[in-house]
Formats: sequence, structure tokens, C-alpha cells
Amino acid sequence: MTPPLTNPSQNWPEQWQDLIAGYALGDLTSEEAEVVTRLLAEHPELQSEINAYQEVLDLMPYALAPEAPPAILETQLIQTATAGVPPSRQVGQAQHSSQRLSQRLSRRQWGLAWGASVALAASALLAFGFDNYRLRQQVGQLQANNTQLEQQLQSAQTVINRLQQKDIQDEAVLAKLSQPNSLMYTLAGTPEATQATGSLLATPGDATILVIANNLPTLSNEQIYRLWAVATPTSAPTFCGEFSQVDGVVSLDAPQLSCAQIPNQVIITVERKSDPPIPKGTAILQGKQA
Amino acid sequence: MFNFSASEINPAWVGRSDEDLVNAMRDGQLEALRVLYRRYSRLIYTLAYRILQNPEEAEEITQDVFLTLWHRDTYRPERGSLSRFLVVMTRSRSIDRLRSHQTHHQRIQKWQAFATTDTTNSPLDFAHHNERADSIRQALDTLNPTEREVLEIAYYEGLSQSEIAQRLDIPLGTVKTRSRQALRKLRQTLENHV
Repeated sequence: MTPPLTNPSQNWPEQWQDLIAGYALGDLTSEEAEVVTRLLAEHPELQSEINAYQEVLDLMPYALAPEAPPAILETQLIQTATAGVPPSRQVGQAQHSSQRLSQRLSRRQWGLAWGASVALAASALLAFGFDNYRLRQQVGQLQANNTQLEQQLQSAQTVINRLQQKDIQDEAVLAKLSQPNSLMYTLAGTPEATQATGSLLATPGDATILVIANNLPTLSNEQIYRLWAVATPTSAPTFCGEFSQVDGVVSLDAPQLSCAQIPNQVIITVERKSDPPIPKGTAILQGKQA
Repeated sequence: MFNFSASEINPAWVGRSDEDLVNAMRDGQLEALRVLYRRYSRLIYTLAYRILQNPEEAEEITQDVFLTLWHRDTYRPERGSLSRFLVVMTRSRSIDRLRSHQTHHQRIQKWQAFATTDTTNSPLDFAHHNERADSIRQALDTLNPTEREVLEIAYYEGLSQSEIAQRLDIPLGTVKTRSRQALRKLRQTLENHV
């Protein structure tokens, strides 16, 4: 059963309760916020009361009359989640929903364009009675406009797709970079992969590592990229995750926190998927602590 | 490979705790995602639909929330229940989208940052969704309609207190009094349900 709420017998003064409710609602004045900060410093146990108020707010949706999503959504979710997802979670994969959004957007835009065309055609038909020539001119113009509109929509959709994908990737990179103690390694291609470039972002204490790679050599079906951290110049490499995405941002959940503890060197190799996590393959990218 | 067409879930998965399922999901177990989806999609979709009033957008938010859970792995059980994590994410994303429709550039005023909240000892972690729903409905019914209105506008529309004052044409002080009073009552009533 659930643990009890903050001891009910712990009757905080009315005024305190009011301030705590205001805190949970985010409506404190600066003076009130100062009072709450002071109260919390003097009575750390008040924190659990604040938590309870915040939790109560987030229970409100349970009271709504439940609406079921369409059954197809589960299938779509599972298909999207599995579409080419290797053991690591590839940030780029999250773009699917954005693509869906842009497809939907595109359908809406097509709807608007079609609606506009129909309206223009209708007005053209009204003109038919007195000026057939002008009608033909208008229809010709309309068709030209439509072709132009189609082209514009196609270009726009390509840009939207790119921007949405980039936005999702940038979000992860920016979040990582905004960590005050984030580490960045510039990765250079080895003689085996001279075109490959990349960067690696990590935060000590956080197992999530971001790899931004470009022009990695193509993998066969049996191969995968693996990331290794070398803690000191004499340490053995530690396995820090694997991925198969050739370009873009990849988010890895490192099995060891030591992967993000300012390693002396980071290396990306091409390995056989079936091999144990010991570096045996070809190094393609490497970077050292600045 | 995964079998997309099989909609039946292996019964062995169904009774597993959220935490177990999240761990299984981290190991790439798709079935865990499916069980969590069936457990919470209705709540998530209902909330998104309530905020956005649009079924297509509610579907998109629902899918995004579960894909984030699958891809990003940002849920930390020590910070609170999964259901609350999903509710907070859904509300925040839905209101962000609502705001973008309304061309409000001002970011939504976030009532609480989930990341800073420790809800380990969740006081209201009821075993069953239905039991929880009944309790919350009863608790909301105890509120004065004007109090409830203010609380619901703030929660589901993400309006600030001054925006609510403007909308309802009442003084800011009244909005504050009503919303605080409403939340205190709600807290008190739900405490009695535990």
C-alpha cells in the first residue's frame, strides 16, 4: 500500500499552507518566494509538503472522462520505435513523428491549395457568361499558379523535414552543451577512414554520451560501430556503447560511468556485432582530451 | 525480429511493475514499451486531447511522449512515479503546442520542474487507475465552481494568474485566493482518501 502523506498531525500554520499552495501553483510574489526559501531552510521537512501539493496538481488529469486513442496508434508507435533501432537509442529516429507531422502539414497545405483552386475556378465560371476568353486566361493562370504552388510546397516540405530532424538533434546537443561541466572531444578520421569526422559530448556523472559523426565508412550487416574510452594513456579501453548510424547525432547510454569521466582518449572502431566488447576491429575515429 | 502484427501481449509481461518495464525497455525489449503504452496511453491521450481539443494533435503528442520514453531514456524512478513523469511531459508539450498555435511567444509558466521534485514516497500512488480517477473526481467535486474553474484554466491552458484575471475579468488577488484555496482543499480531500 502507499506510504502516508506528510504526517497529517503536522499542522503547519495556515499562512504557511497558503504559501506552499502558491509555490506549487507558481504564483508567489518575490517577497513570498523569499519567505518560502527561508522556511525551507529552517524546516527542510516542508519539502515533502510542497511535493505533495505538486503531486495533487498532476493528479487532475485522472478526473477527465477517458478518451481512447485510435487502435492504429499502437501499431504506428511500435513500428516507429523499432524502425532500424539498434541497441543504442538513435536520436535521429525520433524524427519519424516529425515526418508524420510534416506529412500531415503537407496534407493540410494541399487542402488549402485545393480549396483555393476550387474557389478561383468557381469565380472563373461565374465570369463565363460574359467573357469566355477571360475564363480561359484565368484557368491557364490558375494552372500555372497551381504548378508553382506544388513546387513551392514540395520545397517547403523538404525544408520542414530537414529542420525538424535538425531541431531534434540540436535539442539533444544543446542540452548536453548547456551542462556546466560538459566535455567535448573533436574526433578525427584515422588513416583507415580519412573522410570521417566527428565530435563527442559527455558530462561526468551522466551515462548519456552524444556522438556526432559524419562520413563514417559503410557497415556490412554483421558490423557495428563501437565507442571506447581510454581513461589514462596506460589504461585498457572501456566499452562505452555501440551504434550503426553513419551520419548525424547518436545518443549512447554508456554501460560504465567512467566513459564520461574525462577519458584521456576516445576511439570509435568498426566491430563485428557478434564479438564480445573487447576492441578487435579497425579504429576509424579518435580524439584526445584537449 | 519483432512481430508487429501480434497485438496480444504475453501475460507474463502484464503484471510487471513500471520500474521493471522501464528497465526491460532499456534493454531494448519492445514488449515492455507496448505494455506501458497500454497502461498509460489512455491517460496521456485524454490529457493531450483536453488541452489541445484536437484528436490528431493529441495522437501526435501521445506518440511523441512514448517515443521519447523509448529513445531518450530520461525517466529516473528515484524522482517519482512513471505516471506522473508522463503526465508532466504530456502537459508541458501540449501546452507548448497550444501556445505556439496562439502565437504566444512567452514560454509557458511551468508550475513545477519535475526534475527537481522528489516524489519517491508518493502519497497518492494508488494501485488502480479507476480508484484514483474516482477519488480525484470526488475531490474536485468538493470545490466551489469558481475555484475549480481557476484551477482548471491554469492547469489545462497554462495561463498565468494575471492572464486568468484578465480572461475572467476578476482581480488578480481573487485568482490567487481561489486557486490556492482550491489546491489546499484538493490536497486535504485527497489526504483523506489515502
